[in-house]
Amino acid sequence: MKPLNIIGAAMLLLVANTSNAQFLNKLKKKAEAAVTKAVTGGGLSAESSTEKPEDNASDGTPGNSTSPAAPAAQSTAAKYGTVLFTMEKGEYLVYGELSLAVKADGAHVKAVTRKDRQFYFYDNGQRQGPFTTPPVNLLDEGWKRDYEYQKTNADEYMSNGMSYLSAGNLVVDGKKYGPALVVNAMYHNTKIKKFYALVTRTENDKMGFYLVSNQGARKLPSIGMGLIVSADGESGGVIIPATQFNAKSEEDAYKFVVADDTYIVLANGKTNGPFKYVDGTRNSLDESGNYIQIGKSGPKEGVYVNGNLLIPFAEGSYGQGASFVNSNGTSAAWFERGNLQFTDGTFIRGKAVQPVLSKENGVSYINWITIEKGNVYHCKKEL
Amino acid sequence: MFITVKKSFSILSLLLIGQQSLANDYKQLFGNRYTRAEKTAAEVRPVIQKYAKAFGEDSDLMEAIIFPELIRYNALYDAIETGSLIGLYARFGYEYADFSIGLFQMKPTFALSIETEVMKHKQSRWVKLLGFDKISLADEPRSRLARVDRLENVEWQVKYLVAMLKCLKLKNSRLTLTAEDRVLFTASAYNCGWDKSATVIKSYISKKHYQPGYWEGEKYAFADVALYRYADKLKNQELRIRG
Repeated sequence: MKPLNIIGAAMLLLVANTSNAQFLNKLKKKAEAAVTKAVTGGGLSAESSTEKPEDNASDGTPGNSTSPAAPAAQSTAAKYGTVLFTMEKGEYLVYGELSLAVKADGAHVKAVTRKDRQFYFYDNGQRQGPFTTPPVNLLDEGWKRDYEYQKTNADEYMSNGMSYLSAGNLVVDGKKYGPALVVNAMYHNTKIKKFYALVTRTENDKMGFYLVSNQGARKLPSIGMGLIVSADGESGGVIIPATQFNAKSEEDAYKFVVADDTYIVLANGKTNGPFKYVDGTRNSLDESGNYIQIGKSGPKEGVYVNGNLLIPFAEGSYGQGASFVNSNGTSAAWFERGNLQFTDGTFIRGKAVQPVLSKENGVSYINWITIEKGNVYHCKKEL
Repeated sequence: MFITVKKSFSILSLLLIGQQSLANDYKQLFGNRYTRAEKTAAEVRPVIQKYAKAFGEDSDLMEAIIFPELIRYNALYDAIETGSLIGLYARFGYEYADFSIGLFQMKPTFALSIETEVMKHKQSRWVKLLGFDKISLADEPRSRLARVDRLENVEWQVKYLVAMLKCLKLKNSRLTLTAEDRVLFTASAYNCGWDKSATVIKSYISKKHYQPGYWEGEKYAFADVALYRYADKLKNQELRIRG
C-alpha cells in the first residue's frame, strides 16, 4: 500500500468512527410508523381536486391523435357502460405502486377510494366507510401484486417429471398411467387435479412419444417442442413443428426447420394447425384450446388466434398487453396501456381499466371500468 | 459539490463502510431476490458505466442506489394492472396514478420533477447531451405517454438517474459528506425525493420503509440496502484485483 493510501485509510478510519457514532444515534431513533404510502402510492402529496381534461377518445377505427379533442357524439362510457357510482370532488381511486385497488369480474366491480385522507369501499356502487386505512382486505383475494418473482399460472405447476416415475410407470396422485421411460415434461395442478405429461416409452426397441393426461394417453408423431397448458389448466397439449408432425422418415421426425409451421396436439383428442410461424414471445393456449400468438415484429404484428390474424396492432401497441378471445376463437380484444382494440375494429383509446373476460349463456363478454367526469362505469361488450 | 472522498477504496475502507450494514446481511436476507438483482445489475451495467463516464459520475454509486429497486422489480409485466395505471396516468395525470414502472421503478412524478428542474439549466451542456432539452413538459396525454415510454426504456432511466445526481449536487453544493454518507444520502434522496431538503433526506436514511416483497414482511432502510450493495460490489472488485 502506498504511503498516501495508508494516510487516506487512516483518515477514513477516523471519519468512519465518527459517522458510526452518528449512525448508531440514528438507529436509536424509532422508525417512523408505517405509512399508508405503500397502499396509496406516491400520490398522497397530490391532493389536488382539479380533474384534468379527459382524452376524449372516439370509438371506431384507430386514430393517431392523443390530444384532447372535441367531445365525441357518444362517449365510450355511455355507449358500453352503466354508472356504478360517482366520486365526489377530490375523491380518487386508491392505487398501490403496482396496482389499482379495484377488482372487476363480470358481475362485480369493487373499488377503494380516498378523499381527505379517509377511505371508502364500493361494491357495485354501494359505499361503505369512511375507513382510516384503505380497506383493501374487502377486495377479492389476489388483487394485490407482489414484487415476488411471478410465474405464469401454467409455469407454476410445471414440475420435475422424473419424480412421477415409479417402477417404470407414470404415477400421478397414486394412480398408474402406463409405462414410461422418461417423463420429458410434466404439468400437475393439484388444485384442480389435472395433469399433462409428455412421456417417452420404449416400443419394440424404438422410442414412442405420448401425451398422457387425466383424459388418457395420446400417441404423438414426434416429441415436439414441449407442453403448452392454459392458465387455468383446463386445456393442454403439445406443440409439434409441421416437419416433425408430417414426418415420413425418422430423420424428419427429429429435423428442426427454422420458423416452421406448428401443430397443437391437444389432450382432448383434437389437433389444431398448421399455424404459420409468428415472431412472438408469448404464445399461449386459452381455456377453450385456442392457440394465441402475439406477433411483435414486421408484417405480423398483432393478435393471431388459431393462425388467423384477428387484431392487427394499432399505433401505440407494442405487444406488451393482454388478449381476450371468445370460445370459438373468432373474435378477440387486445388491451394495452388503457387502449382496447377489437376484432370488429372498435377502438377505445386510453379509457379502459382492468378488463376481464366473462361468459353468459356461452357468450363471451369483455368487461372493463372507465371513469368519466368522476363517474365510475362498468362497461361491457360482446366478443 | 458535496462529494469530498471519491474513489480509491482500499479493503480497509470497505470494511469500515461495511460496518454500517453489518447488522443486516442483505445478501443472506433477500436470498434469490438479491442474486437475481445482481444478474439484472450486470445486464444494465454497461449502460450505467457509459453514462457515468460521459457525465463524470460514480457508476458504482449509481448502481448501488438503484439496486434495492432491482431487488423488487418483477420481470413479468402485468399488462392489466400496469396498462390500467398507464391509461389513467395518461388521461388524468399523477393524481390518478403515480405508479412505479421500469427496472429502476421510477415514478412519473419523479421524472417530471427532474425534467422541470433540468429546464432551469437547459443551456448546460450536460442537459443537451442527455436530451432533456427536447422533452415536452406540457400537461397533456401525449406528453404523459411519452414520459411513460421513457421510464420503460433502460437508457432513459439511466439518463434520469444521471440528471438526478446532477440536480442533487447543484441543490446541495455546500454539503460535505463522507464516502459512506454520500452513498446513504444519495440513496435516501432517490427513495424519498431528491428535491427535498438535505435535513429531510438525511432523516429518511434510517427510516425503514423498504420491503423487498412489498406487501408483507419486515421493512428495511432503503439507504442501508444501497450502502450494503455499494460495499459488497467494491469488496468483490478489490478481491478480483487482488486475486
